[in-house]
Amino acid sequence: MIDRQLQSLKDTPVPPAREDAKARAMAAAMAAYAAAPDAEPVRSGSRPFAIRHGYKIAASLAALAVIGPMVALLRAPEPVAVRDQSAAKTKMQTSPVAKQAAESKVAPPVVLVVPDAQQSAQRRVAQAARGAADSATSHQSVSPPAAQAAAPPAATPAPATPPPAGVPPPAKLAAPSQQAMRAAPAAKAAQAECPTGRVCATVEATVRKREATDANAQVKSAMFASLSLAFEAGRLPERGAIDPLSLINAFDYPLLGFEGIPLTIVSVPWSKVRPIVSWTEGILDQTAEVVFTVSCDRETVRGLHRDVHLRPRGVAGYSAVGEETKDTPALHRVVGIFAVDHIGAGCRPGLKPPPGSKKFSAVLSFDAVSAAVPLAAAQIDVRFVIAVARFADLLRGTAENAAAFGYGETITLAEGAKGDDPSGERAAFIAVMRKAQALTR
Amino acid sequence: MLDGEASELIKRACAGDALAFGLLVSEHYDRIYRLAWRFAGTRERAEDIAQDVVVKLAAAIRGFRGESAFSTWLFRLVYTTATDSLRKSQKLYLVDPAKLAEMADGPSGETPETAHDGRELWAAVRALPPQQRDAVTLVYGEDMNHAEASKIMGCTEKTVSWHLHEAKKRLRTQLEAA
Repeated sequence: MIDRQLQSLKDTPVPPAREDAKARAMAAAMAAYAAAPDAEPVRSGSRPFAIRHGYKIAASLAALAVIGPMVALLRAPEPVAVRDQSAAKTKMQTSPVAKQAAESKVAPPVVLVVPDAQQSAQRRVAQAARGAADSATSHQSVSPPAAQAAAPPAATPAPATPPPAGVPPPAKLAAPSQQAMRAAPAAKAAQAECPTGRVCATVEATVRKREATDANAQVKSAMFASLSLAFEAGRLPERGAIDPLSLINAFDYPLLGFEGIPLTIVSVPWSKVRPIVSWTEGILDQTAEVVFTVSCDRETVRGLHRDVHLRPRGVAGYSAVGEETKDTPALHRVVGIFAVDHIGAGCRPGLKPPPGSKKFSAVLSFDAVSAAVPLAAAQIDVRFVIAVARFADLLRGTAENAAAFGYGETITLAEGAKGDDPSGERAAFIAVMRKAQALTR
Repeated sequence: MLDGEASELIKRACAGDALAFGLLVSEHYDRIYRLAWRFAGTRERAEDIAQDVVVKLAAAIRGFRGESAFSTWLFRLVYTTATDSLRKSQKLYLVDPAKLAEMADGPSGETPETAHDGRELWAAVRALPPQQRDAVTLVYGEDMNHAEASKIMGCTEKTVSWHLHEAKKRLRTQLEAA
């Protein structure tokens, strides 16, 4: 019986794809093809073990990195861990590197000794760092001003000494390196053979490499790549090919929703009647059912495990500008960005449990009008995501009141919301916005 | 594994020929979309998935080595993209703004999903646990044999058979209860 029913599944008619959707897909594919590197390894069939279990491998390596040195130190006949400061000081001052430092009045950088198994990988890192640095230097050739900047006060002993062969330094020895890392920008990347004969890379080298990478940060998104490509070629992309959702999802919004405000309503300068609603789910467990309401009407959309109810009575309509999702082992969160039309005084956006649901008990609801915050006062990630969405709208030609809030204002908004930008992605995005602005002048 | 004209097109696309790639995508788009629809159940979502697939294909095609049939390799790409998309959509479902008024005021009260597929059986299949759903979709929806489905799902044939067995048990209970 069930077999017969299942056999009928293949005869279910499939509605044909729309021509414009196909054209859009083709355009996006061609842009991505042009932007793709010459050859890229492809994942086919079963995913490699390292990918399927990446986080487990990373966790194991991290655990080994912490536990390995501790075990080795416990077993070493003459431990060099900084348990006894005076002994450690004596030991450091008599080490070859410390002697060199004393002679040249240059504090030796913290040396990371690479275990045998990781030598080749570390060598590659060191080589990359050497390439990124202005010139490859050894301990001794670190320029004096930079080295002084990186060095602790004169009275402070040399921060570290190379541990016995094969034994990475204990975690405590890394502490002085933080000072070096902060002071590193002026320092040359250094790589040297340490007295143990192993390949060593200084912390400065690693930091320098990271800086070099950040400067060339690229946003990993096909949409972003195709935009960059079009701007490089001196033209604006097809309006129909702009997908705000892809653009929004190209970025990380680490702070969004983590300040205890799951729902933010932002009044925007370009429209008095269409505030932006940013909805964030940050701390709900995966079995919770969530409902997003703009006003109370009828359930319209049902997901498999999670219900999202869009109830537009009381509003003229709203656009789903985008979503951003993030999964971590402990929690996941969802961000919805909606431009809402005409929120009335009686309309109360909020998170409410679906009727009859016992899974999610918190009810959070507040008045839209009184709760709206001005754009300038919104959370930094909310401002950035709005800038991304606005930029997409400007490119699509669908931006409301573009004369009042155009590329210039959007760039200013994004710059103000750049934050720390550790990956450099936001800076890369702002650079791309500037190119678009130049093209539209 | 490659043969004839299709093989030539694939080889040229792998070598960086944009025209060949365009033809290849154009030729396979409908198959990609159809499989995406089987998983998604709505045209909008299937189109989104199909677009994601062709963009991924653009980045991946140069690495295709012909170690498996191109169709299997491509279906695998569709499968992973569609299941990723479904996983995400369990959290938030984006709706075409143009449809919102109709949703609020329409007399039927149908969700987009039910409006499009209109079949209780498909709804029950899509509500199965992910791997059971995938096995049923590929084997019964796309008429694949267990070996083909196993390659696409990245598991053994035995596992596919087991998922099908479990799915049938579950569906039987659900449909009989209804």
